[in-house]
Amino acid sequence: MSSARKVISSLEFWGLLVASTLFISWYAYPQILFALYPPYELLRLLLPGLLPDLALAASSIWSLPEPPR
Amino acid sequence: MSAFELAARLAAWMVAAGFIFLLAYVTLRRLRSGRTALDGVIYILLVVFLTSLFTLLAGLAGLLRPAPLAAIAAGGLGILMVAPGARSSLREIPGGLRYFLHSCKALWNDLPRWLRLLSALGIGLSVARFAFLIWALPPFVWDSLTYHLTNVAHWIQAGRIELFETPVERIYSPANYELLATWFSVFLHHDVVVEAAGLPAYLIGLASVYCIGRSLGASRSAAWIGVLAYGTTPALLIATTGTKNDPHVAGYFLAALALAIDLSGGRLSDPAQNSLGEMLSIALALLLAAGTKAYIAHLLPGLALIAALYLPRGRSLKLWRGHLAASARQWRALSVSTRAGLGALLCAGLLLGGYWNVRNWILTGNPFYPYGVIVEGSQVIQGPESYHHLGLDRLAENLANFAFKFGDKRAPIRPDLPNTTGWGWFVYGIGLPVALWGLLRRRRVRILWVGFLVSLLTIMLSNRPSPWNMRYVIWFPALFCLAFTALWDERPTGTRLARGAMSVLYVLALSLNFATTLNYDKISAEEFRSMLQLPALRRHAALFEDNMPAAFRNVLKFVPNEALLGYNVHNNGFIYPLYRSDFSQRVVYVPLSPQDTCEDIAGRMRQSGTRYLVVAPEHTSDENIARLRQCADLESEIRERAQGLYVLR
Repeated sequence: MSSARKVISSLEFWGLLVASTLFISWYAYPQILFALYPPYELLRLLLPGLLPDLALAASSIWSLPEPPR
Repeated sequence: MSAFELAARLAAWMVAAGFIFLLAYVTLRRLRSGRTALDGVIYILLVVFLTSLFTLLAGLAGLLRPAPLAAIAAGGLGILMVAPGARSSLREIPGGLRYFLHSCKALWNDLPRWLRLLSALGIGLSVARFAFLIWALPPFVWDSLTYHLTNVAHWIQAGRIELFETPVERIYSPANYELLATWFSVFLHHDVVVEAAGLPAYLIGLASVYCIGRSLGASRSAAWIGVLAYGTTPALLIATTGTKNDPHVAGYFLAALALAIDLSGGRLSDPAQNSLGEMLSIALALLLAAGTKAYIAHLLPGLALIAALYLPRGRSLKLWRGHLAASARQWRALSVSTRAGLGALLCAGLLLGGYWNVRNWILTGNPFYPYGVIVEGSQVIQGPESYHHLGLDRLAENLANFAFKFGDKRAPIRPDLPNTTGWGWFVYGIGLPVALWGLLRRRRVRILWVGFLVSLLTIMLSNRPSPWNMRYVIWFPALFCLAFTALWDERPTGTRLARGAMSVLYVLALSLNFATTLNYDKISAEEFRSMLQLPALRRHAALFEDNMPAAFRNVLKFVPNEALLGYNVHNNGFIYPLYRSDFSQRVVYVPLSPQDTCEDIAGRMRQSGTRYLVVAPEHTSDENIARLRQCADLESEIRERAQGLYVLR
């Protein structure tokens, strides 16, 4: 591979890395809360009574109610 | 169920499963592709195919009970042991298994250390997650409780596959998934492991992504990276144990694509390639899908485009012509008995692919019953349920609907994907930019884009715009995972920091995907605890508090097991939970209308042979519920025993 190609390829990869970081940041809200909620419930299952139920607070995050059937 | 009975039922299941596994191995001999991973796909496909066929034939013959199924399987095992051709195939099993394990070891050795650690952890946690969710929870996803599992429960109770009177007309829909779900329930006469019926499809999907990645030219470890990414896609992962048929269609589609790409130039001039076997395998995968859900037809244009355009300058088409000629030559060289066997396999495929639609056509005059078909505004076929509407207006509506859900900003990702795509952290975070890079820079990724997009748009030409319709495209995220496999091997050597950072992002995205699915993003710790406090065999779907009306729980409390239970629901109401998890409750539909007098209703209950009638808000029309309440208040023959449960005095 020529050195010019190597530079292009390296720039492409850095570009993709930056783009991925930006895309993940964009995706993070509100999905980060939805990703943390299940492990929290698992902890609550394993440690009964120690942690508060956050289901109501969690459900207030998303903008739409469960659609009617 | 006594321990002895449980052991006997398990033994029957083992015999039947043993027969299927061995028969699939014998059949694989004729379909073998010459590539270990692709043979793995064909083998799992054959296991699913033969299981579905066995269940269908036994069900049509009225033999859907553990003893006859085990007896037929034992007879089949005997024939396999005696028949000379089959015996020689069976003798190859230890060698074949050794070769498969050797290939797995080669893959493992190719993985870098961090990826080995991630894989071991990921596989361990996934197995634990699947096992826990299957064991701890009863089925709870809407469509399963209205028609998929209602069919299963009725067939198991009746010991045969048949239609029955119910307002949920969708029991007529193609039901190959239900055949597999029946297999997972009929031996135990219980639904405790029915959610596992999605696992074979999940495995087919993942193995197919590996094969496609390898065909794209990826190294073993890069293809494996794509597999892990697709395997944690939330929409796929939570649907797998969601007792619905979409993971099956996705798995069959990806399997057909993996085989088609292999034939289109995924490997060039390999003398071990078995054109006839691979073409037959494609046909079996697509026929299995056709009898599972009709939308596989919408995916075919994309599949055909990829197969035709895979190599530049029409070389793929030339290869296909060569494969057709080679298949004809191979066919002529086969012995009469082998030809008969392969012919029978294709006929079995046609049966599995066409039985449900042909039955509906004969019974109702509409192969797609209960759905009608509208093409560009004109009604082609009439049906009582919604319509398959094929038109550009539909496409526009669906694209707007897709844009609304894009990015999963509206809601958590749940099994039937309300208001989300469910594609998760990897696809949106890494897959999207990488796939766009692949679109511009790599021809083969570009071809995949074209094919996947054409299939997606074709589905959107007819998909009913609804909050839940992204479940029909859970195969689409595979595109992003495959684009990533193409990038992985080409990471430039001088960018250690960037390579490390990309690996960290990849692990982070997969971990967050997995975390999202731990409780289907909806089941609370209290719900788990209340289920876990019950013995495993008493975890009835009707006890599931999250989405179950109180009336259904009252049925368990007040209606004796041996009684016939009447129900009245509308065309999208739950029925399955009424059967109980051990299918011990017989149920009957009691039609009602708000114009009925109390005497009419009581008379209809008596006519149906039941004293009990259950109705529930959201599942029964409000007018029918109000009418029953009036009857109970009027001191008629009908009284309300508990909320939603009415009995004749």
